[in-house]
Amino acid sequence: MKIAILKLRDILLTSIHVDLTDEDALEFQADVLEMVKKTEAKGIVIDITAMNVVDSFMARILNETASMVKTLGAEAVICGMRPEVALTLVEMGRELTGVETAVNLEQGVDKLRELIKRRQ
Amino acid sequence: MIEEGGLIMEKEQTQGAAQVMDAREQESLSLIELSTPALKVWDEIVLVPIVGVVDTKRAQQIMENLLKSIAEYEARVAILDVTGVPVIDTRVAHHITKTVTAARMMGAEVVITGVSPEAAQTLTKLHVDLSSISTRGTLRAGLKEAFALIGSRVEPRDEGVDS
Amino acid sequence: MNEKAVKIEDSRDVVRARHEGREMARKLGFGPADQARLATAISELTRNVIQYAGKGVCVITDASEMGIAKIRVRVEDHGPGIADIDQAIEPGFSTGNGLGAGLPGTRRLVHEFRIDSKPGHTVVSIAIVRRRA
Ligand SMILES: Nc1ncnc2c1ncn2[C@@H]1O[C@H](COP(=O)(O)OP(=O)(O)O)[C@@H](O)[C@H]1O
Ligand SMILES: [Mg+2]
Repeated sequence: MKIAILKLRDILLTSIHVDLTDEDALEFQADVLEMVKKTEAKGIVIDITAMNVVDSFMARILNETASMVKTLGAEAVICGMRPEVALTLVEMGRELTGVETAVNLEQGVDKLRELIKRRQ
Repeated sequence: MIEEGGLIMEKEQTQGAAQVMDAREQESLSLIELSTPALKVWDEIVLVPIVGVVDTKRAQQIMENLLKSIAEYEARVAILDVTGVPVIDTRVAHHITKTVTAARMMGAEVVITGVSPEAAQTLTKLHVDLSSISTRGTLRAGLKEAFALIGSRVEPRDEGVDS
Repeated sequence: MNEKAVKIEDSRDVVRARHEGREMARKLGFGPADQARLATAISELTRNVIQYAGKGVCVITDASEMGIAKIRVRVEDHGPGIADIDQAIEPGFSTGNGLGAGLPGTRRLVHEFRIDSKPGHTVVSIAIVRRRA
């Protein structure tokens, strides 16, 4: 299952809209990093509005992906986490910390722009 | 014993014992629940005023509601006003901290308002640390804080990256 | 009695199993939070089956009683077994280079949690419960 990553000027947008297997999730992570590098994007917004399960494995992938993007010199914002997903993660003790978040795509893009501005 | 979804069930890792539902909890489940509204007070700001006694079950419901309202109104700040709550015990405080963490993952900040001096004393005595949570004495001050949070688009967190 | 058995053989079955769990929860009137809790718990347990035992089965049962909606999930495998259960449910303990968050996390998400394990046979049983209106 390939997740499309769109380039919009200097940033990337992607939306996880299907239920990913662990292999899909790893492939997604590799694709994000590849795209950030290839396009020299300044940042990426990852929309997870459609995800109704984020277990410890997926949480780890999201955390790691965000920090790997930062290591590549870009910014990452994760947006649209559903309330029940956030609650479940907290109950499990698997908070995403140090990851920039936003309620929806629009706010996500705004936040990314702000972060990029700060970095420059 | 651990409480989830308002039910207390005995959990077991060993063979044998039967699962027991706490009778007291079971009883409280049948009580009519006081509803707690979430009000959209401004673009991207929701207000959840809590009035009355908060037990664990109600705390859980209020917190679920608060998170739901953040998603529904696409809010960036949620104000949790506890002026009308006589007692905040450790369990309720625990639910509050959980909710704040969950809200942050959703991309919103929570501001707690109306913590009474008594509640502040109890919380401190119980070693509940709300220092990472934004609290304001009055709802008015909380609203001001909420507007400030919205005005400055990005509030970077100074936490490290967790893996 | 409504029951769904999902064979767990590869990671697509993990997706299938958690989907079935969520669906049953939804049909029985559990809210989004409980649906997410159950689906997440199933995801953790079935992943462990693949990772540590290779294959197994996940049986999701409607165990509702009068006045109470209840879903029981039994995740079973014939792998090596869990040597020390107390250790396995300790947050951070992992023999698989994982986060060791699966079992302790699952335990916190559900109302009933139980592990029976010996070499050659492991069963993790969980349940979520909801009082009917
Ligand atoms: N079905 C199983 N069979 C054998 N061992 C298991 C099984 N499930 C869990 N374990 C053991 O319990 C440990 C903890 O599991 P878990 O909490 O899911 O964390 P992780 O999978 O990240 O290691 C595993 O590392 C493994 O040693
Ligand atoms: Mg695991």
